[in-house]
Amino acid sequence: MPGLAVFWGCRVLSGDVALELSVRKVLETLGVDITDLEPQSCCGEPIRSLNLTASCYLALRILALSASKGYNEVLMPCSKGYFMANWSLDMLSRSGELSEAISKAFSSEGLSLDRLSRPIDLVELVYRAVGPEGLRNKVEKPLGLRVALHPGCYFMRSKPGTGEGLRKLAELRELLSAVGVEAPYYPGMMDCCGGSLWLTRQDAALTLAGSKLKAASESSLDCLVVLCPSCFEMLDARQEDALSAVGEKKGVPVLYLPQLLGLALGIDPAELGLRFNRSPVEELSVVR
Amino acid sequence: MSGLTDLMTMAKPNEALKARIIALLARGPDMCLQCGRCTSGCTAFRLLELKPHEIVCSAKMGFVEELVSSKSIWDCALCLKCAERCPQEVSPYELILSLRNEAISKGLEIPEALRDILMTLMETGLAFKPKKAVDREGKAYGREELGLPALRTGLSEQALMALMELLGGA
Repeated sequence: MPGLAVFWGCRVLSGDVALELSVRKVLETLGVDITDLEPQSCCGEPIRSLNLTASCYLALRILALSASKGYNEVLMPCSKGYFMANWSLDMLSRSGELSEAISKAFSSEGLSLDRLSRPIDLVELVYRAVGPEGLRNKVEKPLGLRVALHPGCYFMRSKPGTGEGLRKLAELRELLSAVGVEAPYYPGMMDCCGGSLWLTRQDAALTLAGSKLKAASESSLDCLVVLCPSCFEMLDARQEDALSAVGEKKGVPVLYLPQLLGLALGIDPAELGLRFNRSPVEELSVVR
Repeated sequence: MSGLTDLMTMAKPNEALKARIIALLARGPDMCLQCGRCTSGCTAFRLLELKPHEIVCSAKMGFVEELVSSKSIWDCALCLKCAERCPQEVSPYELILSLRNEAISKGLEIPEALRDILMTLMETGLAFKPKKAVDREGKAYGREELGLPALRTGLSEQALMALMELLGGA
């Protein structure tokens, strides 16, 4: 019985290993097997502005490729990849013209729109594989943190208008609470980090990221927690520029969700790729 | 609607262009009631000359050329709040992307960052070139040094052909 394929996405492959290392380590500790989907290719997200059909083609091709290798589901730890898969499926179900164009594009590789893997994200996977109780039982180091959770646009609104985002957020909070992390509401929690605006308006993108960091600081929470590599890039890698865009100086530690889970599971910070975070994560006692 | 005239620009609705813009959209503009919920939650509100509900309204009425050449479509943060909030299942997000597609295919605008991504995509099958990870001290690590498996990347020749055909047809 084939298990679960994993599609990492361009950001991970172009050097954002903090996400990959921590996802692999956490899933290994939880006893969840994943197999790398090969070859890995673009999910289509960056070319949405250029051509909708082509970007949906790239997203759906990942689902079709994964299905052709016998996987029913494909884990997409990158929120943008996960969103692209879901959005393309929505577009497909409503537009005959799109499905015709993509079927045609698929034909030369023998892929089919009738056989697509189902995309799942990390929260759904962990919730289903071990659940909050199972996770609680594996905790080695209850974190006792109050974090500024940044769910991000593409996790919260992967299926816009369906209410799915709030359900996912509730599951995520249950998982966090299982590892001793409280994620209260803070002003701006649902706001955008500016990641997608980076392509066209870098100044405004940095202001959005800076406002997010400022909101996290002002709410006196311990750190920011993100799910998406695009958010991580804006809030962690570009933190200095983002802070100066809003006239702030105080740095904010930024962790990936699987890094946070990994710390609670007692995994060595080095194995969670924490040396690749640029933000002041050493301020957190759980990291030291 | 063909009797309408935009009194600011004296433009007439262009139904053929509208049809092309909304042909692929899962959640097109026609059901819009102009309630303004999209605009009330818009991330890029302060940047936009034309607000999301105005963009949807213009598109619905067939005044599309002005939108295609408008700066506003490039200021959208693509945050999806508009699509999430709409009670009528309209997605200003999708409409804005489709308008961007049209602007690019007309040669009106192509952001430089997007041009770079397209080159990399054609060359490597990825949007960003695979590269070593650099830690906070500036030290670079290859995948094997981090205990990560080598991963094959890229698009097959057939997929690349199919992609180019789709892009060329735009």
